[in-house]
Amino acid sequence: MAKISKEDIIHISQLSRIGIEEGEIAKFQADLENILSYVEQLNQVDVTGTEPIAQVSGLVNVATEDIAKPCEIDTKILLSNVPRLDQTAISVPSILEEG
Amino acid sequence: MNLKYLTIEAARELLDLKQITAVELVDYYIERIEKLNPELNAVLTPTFESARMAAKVSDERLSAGKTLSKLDGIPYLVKDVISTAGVRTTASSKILEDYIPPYSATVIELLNSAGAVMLGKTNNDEFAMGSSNESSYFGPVKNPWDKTRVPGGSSGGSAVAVSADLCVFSLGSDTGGSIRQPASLCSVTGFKPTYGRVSRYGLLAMASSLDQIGPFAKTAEDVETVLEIIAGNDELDSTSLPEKYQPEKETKKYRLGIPQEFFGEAMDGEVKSIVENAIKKLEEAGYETETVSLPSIDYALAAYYIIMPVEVSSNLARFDGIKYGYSPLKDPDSNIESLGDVYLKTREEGFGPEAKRRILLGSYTSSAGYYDAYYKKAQQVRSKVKADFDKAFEKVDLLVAPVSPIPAFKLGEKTASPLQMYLADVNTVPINPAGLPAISIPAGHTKAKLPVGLQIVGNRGCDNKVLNLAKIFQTIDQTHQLQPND
Repeated sequence: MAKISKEDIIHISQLSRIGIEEGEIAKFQADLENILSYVEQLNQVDVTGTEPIAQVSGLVNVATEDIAKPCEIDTKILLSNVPRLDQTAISVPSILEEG
Repeated sequence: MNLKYLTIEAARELLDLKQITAVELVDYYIERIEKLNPELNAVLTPTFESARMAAKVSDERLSAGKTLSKLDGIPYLVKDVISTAGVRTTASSKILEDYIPPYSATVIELLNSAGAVMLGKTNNDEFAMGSSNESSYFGPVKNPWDKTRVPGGSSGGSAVAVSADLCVFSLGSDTGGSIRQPASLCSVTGFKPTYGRVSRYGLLAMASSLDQIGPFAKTAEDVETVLEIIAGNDELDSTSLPEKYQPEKETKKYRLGIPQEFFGEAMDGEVKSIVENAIKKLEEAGYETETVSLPSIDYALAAYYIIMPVEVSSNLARFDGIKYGYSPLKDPDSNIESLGDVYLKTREEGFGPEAKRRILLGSYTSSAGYYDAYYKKAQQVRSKVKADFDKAFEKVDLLVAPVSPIPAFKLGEKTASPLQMYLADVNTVPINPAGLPAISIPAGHTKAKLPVGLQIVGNRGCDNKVLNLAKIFQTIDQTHQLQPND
């Protein structure tokens, strides 16, 4: 039976960059424990000698020609979804130093 | 003129014989959407103005004898996880509520070039995560067969769009059953192609090794017509198959396998009889069937719920409040100072609970210390699942099985337990990790008039065989012609 601690939830929420309120932690703990307990049945499967696979198409290293093409989309349109623009630059807050 | 429940074939004939114009056809569906959508909530973003303009241009082509394809002038709707240039694409999430893509998905470009007329974007479970269309930021979609029940998910809106005759065909996406399950619950035909058959360029990625775009329509024949337009190699998608889609004429009756593990205890009794009767009809039509076993299948759902969240946690990392989408930076009064806080706040406020759950799960099972126990193990089980299917397809050409173990459930019935919801997909999920083509076709209705679908699964690349058997079934069974009441 998987056991997820409060610290685990805080840790993975930081890894996932998702802010979590104190009040939400318990529900996520319970949900994840439930789901992980279910998926842990994979421990019953004998996988000795089985290679893990990540894809089924069998395609390998599919590449395109290294030819530059002009971008047909107007810069204004490309930037139209940016939350905070600084002229034509995407404005990014600074990364604060610790302590 | 009765335009109710037209197939592509029927609409094409009316257009070609000039018994109707493309503009009249589009107006018919616009009227149906305006009348029925307030209750069904299947359409999120209508594009009626541009649809009328496109229809007008289509009529001009038709008059000049320059029809572009079978789909020229045919109205369709698109699941809101597929990018449409200039038209809001939200993934049914708050985090993309105002996002307008600067480009269209390849499938949209192909349908445009074929002259098809887009009526708008449909509702779905947020970021394609769900089996009931209840997790959408824009509210749930209702099943037209019983509006107190779910249409299935995640492509609930697109399934309902065809079922309620809001369009002639629609596009959905399927990562673990998101086309097939709602097709089954809404009594329409829904097809998930072989992985790589249809370009994923422009599809808001959920799980990149599992996702596929596919059509919903009233018949398997229509589904094949759409597939012929949207399938094909795309240099913008390095996972797309090199070969073109080729329809196939059945020369010898296909050998059919019945996978015994798909008829588990959780299966509703009525669903079981309907599916068994459908298989019996095929047997009576001369198809030989045999039981096959896929021993790793029982573990496929567990493997999927490790692999998929890991890929999700990676794909959804791009929603950071910096480049597009929901962001505290949009508020000029916001006093957010650090980059880290922008990420945390954007994703806390922008994602719904299911998206958060899956991202957290994926981060956990792929993190240092847990990667081998979970993710690597799941990828090994995936290999076994694929091998089981490969072995079965040495003996048979196609598998016939149920789609959903239960018919459409009540809204709110399964939302308390995420795991209960996941178990609804036990028959559809194993197909995606193996990259197989699979279809859901209407097979019958329960006593409560709830639809039940039959699933046909083929080996990788055998989309044409799957579609063939589906078309043949629809000549010996008329369930697909039944329509819900308005």
